Amino acid sequence: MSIYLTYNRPREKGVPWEEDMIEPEGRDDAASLAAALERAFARQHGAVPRLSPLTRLSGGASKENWAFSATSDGVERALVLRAAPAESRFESAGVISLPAEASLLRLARANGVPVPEVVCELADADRPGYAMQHVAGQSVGTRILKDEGLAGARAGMARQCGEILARIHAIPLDGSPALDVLMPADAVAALAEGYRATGQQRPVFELALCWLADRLPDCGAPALVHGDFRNGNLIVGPDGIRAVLDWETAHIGCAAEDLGWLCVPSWRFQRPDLPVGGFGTRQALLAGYHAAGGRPTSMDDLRFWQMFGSLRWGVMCAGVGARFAAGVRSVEGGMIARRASETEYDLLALMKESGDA
Amino acid sequence: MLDAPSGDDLLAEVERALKEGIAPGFAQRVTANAVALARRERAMQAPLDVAECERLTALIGEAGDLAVLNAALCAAIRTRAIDAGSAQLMTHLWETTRAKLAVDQPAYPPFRAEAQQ
Repeated sequence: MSIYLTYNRPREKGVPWEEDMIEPEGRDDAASLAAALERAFARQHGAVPRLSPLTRLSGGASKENWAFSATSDGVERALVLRAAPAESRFESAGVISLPAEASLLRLARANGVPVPEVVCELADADRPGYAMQHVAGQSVGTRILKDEGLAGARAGMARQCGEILARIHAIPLDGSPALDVLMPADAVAALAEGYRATGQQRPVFELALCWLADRLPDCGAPALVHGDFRNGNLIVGPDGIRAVLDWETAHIGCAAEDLGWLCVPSWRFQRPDLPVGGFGTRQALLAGYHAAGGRPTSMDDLRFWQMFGSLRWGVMCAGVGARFAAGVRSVEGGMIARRASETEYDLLALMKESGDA
Repeated sequence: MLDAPSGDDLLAEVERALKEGIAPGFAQRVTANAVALARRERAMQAPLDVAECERLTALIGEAGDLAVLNAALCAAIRTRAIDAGSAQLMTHLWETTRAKLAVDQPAYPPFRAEAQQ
């Protein structure tokens, strides 16, 4: 299964999907995870800090996040544990492993990308995971767009996204864990395969696949691609972007893919008029990207990868619908399936814009 | 053609969720949105289906139900038997897609922004 087709419930997706509160289930797990953490601290740091009880956070369906604090020498640090769930609500094959994710975070941090510091890794092969620094700030996309305290941050965020993406795309690949390689033709083929696997007949998706196949970009040397860089996966404070989260669909591919994904209308929330995450312009994004040494990227490249991104999200929604039809049912899954039409609307709008241009 | 699951299938899940108990907050809002979608579908679907079927018949020159006609249109686009730039094709796809969004998600911001213009 391709990384593109993994449906991982985002922390929030605007109306009608908003952040849910702490989920009560999984309380029994807390004690065994805390014990695993103590072993990990002992092995990797020689000393075991005093750990607070773990509290389950809402978030990805394919990974669990737990908040806790670790106190040593009188200093308390807020941390987040990311661990594999005991059971997954939605299919999660195709994402990178937690050890690979930890290794990517370390690599990104060493290359100047704002990411949480990895503090220790669980050694349990059955239940992998890692603890990272808790970064304070807002990550809910709709609130990032509304919060008055973040107005200053929003003004510079499109440019800042460009600068951060330039740093991600400059990361030397020889230090990276093994990742899928998906250059444009493979990437489009993966989406086509995912769509065909749903068995659905969607004329707009067919047209978008033809459109993409006719415009495969030449993207130069393969780059490390974050894969899910968008409003909703960024932690923002009044000073701007503090951390880039959710590296689980990272892969090797075309650098411009990340820039186009950031412009997909589904994560502009209530600001469809601002293409970059609902907070900025494409011009500001590209200015920041190029000033920080990013790859040559044109408006056509952005449009190609935005089209690809809307289709990717559409195929994910269609896939949730196919699983619903196969018996994996829930109200939430059914409602996600009915979001495929929003991507059809966006795909048609982008084809029209491209034809007018 | 409206997507699956149908409003009825969504309501069956709502019924099950209600029996199990729905937590306040996110799950409750999603459930309420599902009921609203099912109500819109019930009110709007029949004439939308008729109009889509007429457009498809004119476009493809064949008769059949929506599933058959849409499969034929998909094949024509995939094999490039139909011109992707054809105004008739694009008009059909826009009308069908706007009709779907009016049922699925009338508050989707780009769609609402267009409707308000």
